[in-house]
Amino acid sequence: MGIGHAGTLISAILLLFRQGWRTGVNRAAEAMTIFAVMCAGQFPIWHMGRVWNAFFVLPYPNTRGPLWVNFNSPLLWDVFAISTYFTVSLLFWYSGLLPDLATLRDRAKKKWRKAFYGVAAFGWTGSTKHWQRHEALSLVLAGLSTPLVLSVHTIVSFDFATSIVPGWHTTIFPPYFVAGAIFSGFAMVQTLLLVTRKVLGLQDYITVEHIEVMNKVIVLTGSIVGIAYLTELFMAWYSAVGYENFAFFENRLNLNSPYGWSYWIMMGCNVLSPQIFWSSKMRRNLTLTFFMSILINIGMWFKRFVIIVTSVYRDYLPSSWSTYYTPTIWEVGFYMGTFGLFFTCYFLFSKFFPVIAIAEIKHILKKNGENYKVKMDVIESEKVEKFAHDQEHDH
Amino acid sequence: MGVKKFVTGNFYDEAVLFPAIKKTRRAGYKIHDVFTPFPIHGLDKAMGLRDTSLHTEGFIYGITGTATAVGFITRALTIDWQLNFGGKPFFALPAWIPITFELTVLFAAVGMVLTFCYLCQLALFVRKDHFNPRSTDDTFVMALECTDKTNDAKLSVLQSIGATDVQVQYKETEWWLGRYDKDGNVLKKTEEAVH
Repeated sequence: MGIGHAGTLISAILLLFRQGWRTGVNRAAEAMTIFAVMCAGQFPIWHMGRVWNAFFVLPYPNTRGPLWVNFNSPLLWDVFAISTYFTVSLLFWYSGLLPDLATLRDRAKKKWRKAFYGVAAFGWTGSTKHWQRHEALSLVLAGLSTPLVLSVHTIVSFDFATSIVPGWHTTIFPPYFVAGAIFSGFAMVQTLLLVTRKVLGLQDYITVEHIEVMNKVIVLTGSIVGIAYLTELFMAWYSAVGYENFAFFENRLNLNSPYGWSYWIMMGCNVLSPQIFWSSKMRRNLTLTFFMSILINIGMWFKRFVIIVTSVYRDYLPSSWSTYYTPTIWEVGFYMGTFGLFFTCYFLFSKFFPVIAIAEIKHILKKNGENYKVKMDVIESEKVEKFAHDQEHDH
Repeated sequence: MGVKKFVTGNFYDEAVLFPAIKKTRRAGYKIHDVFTPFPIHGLDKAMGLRDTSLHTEGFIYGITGTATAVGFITRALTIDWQLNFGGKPFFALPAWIPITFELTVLFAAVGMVLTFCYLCQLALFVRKDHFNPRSTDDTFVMALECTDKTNDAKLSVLQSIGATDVQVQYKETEWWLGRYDKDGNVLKKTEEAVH
């Protein structure tokens, strides 16, 4: 889910902030978002146990009363948040793709490509009126997506934060999850794009500057996440609640506790290692960036592992502490399955769809209209007689 | 469905295109459309197009989403089937904010995209006639519609304002269902009719 945030962040927030560099990476990042959300969205369904009853979460008129779903529950908020996020991301991504697919359609030589992109491009022509509406649509969708990105991860964190389980019951979760999501999302963008740009030869579009800027975002969000970890520890101590103290200082911080190692892997990967990116030489080192992006992905996976496992493997009853959580083959299978789904989708995307936002790149590269508006004034104030004379002269 | 007669010209530079549009309009010719591979800021203004109302529609869709969420949850939890969650009030508005927000965004986004597709006639399998396939690639194509009052003199007008590859084309202005790898049969029949 976290990985599924950088795409919309890059597209939406950076569009609103008029960050020109986003055009090189936004399309691939948006695609990554959609595929990641497709994977993430499956897990709640698997975890329901009775997968065939998954539609029970929808508020439809049913034969049980109708008995409605609990609209006050964070789990239901999550249903709405993730499905909305997926839908809006998909619309944003595909509406942006239309002009690029039309370009591919009109450049296509092979029959099947013409047919495929012809269908996919929805009959886009590039008419000025259509561009005007397209611009308006992109801007509003960006404006809607920005709070949406923040809300989705906030709501994901509410799943934990509104409970009373020690270690989950903290108010810092929403901002901390959002920062973590951006952090891991950018790391995943780096992982994918470093390979994509090399394989597809896109070094001129996804430049070292792009990589460097994203590394800056990584060091910023990584540090925010680090502060959140420390704040959590402080609040656990400051609250003087025995259970909170135990969850944080015994189950997590203590390296000798059964899962202490996972907390320190998380700390090392997420907080300490990204600090290397304060050096611009390191930010521009592609091999190191790739290595770091993998490290951060591992670290952010451990973040979830720490939150979930260390908070619940020892509950209030010490007599039930003997359980040492080990994933079953089915759990590992589900997880591996999402890797398969994600990479299959991403590879298909990078094979058949434009990885770069072509129209936006052209827009950035070409001179924009500002220079000409100045000249327009001259024509605007021009006398009709003079214009007519010029025309005559031309003939 | 209707095939019309157009004069089209290519432009490669915005510096030429903008004055050209102004001059064409000044000369009293009606610009059918300008097709560009990327959005050119100010082009809509230069062509005298009015602003799009898509923003307003998006706002209306958003408000509809808000009203739907609040209305539906209120009805479900306070009238239709009251459930006691830990003694909390049935009308628990703060707890409904997340879903209300999500539905607002969902309605606005879906509504706007559908409206956008409807207004621009975009859908799967929609086939449209193109003046120049390069207009989605690297050239700006201006199309002037020929009416009874105007004639092929436009050819020279377009040439005089810097257009290249100026030609007369008969094109279908509406969309139809079809595929891009096949020539539109509809078109050929109607084109004969015009001739």
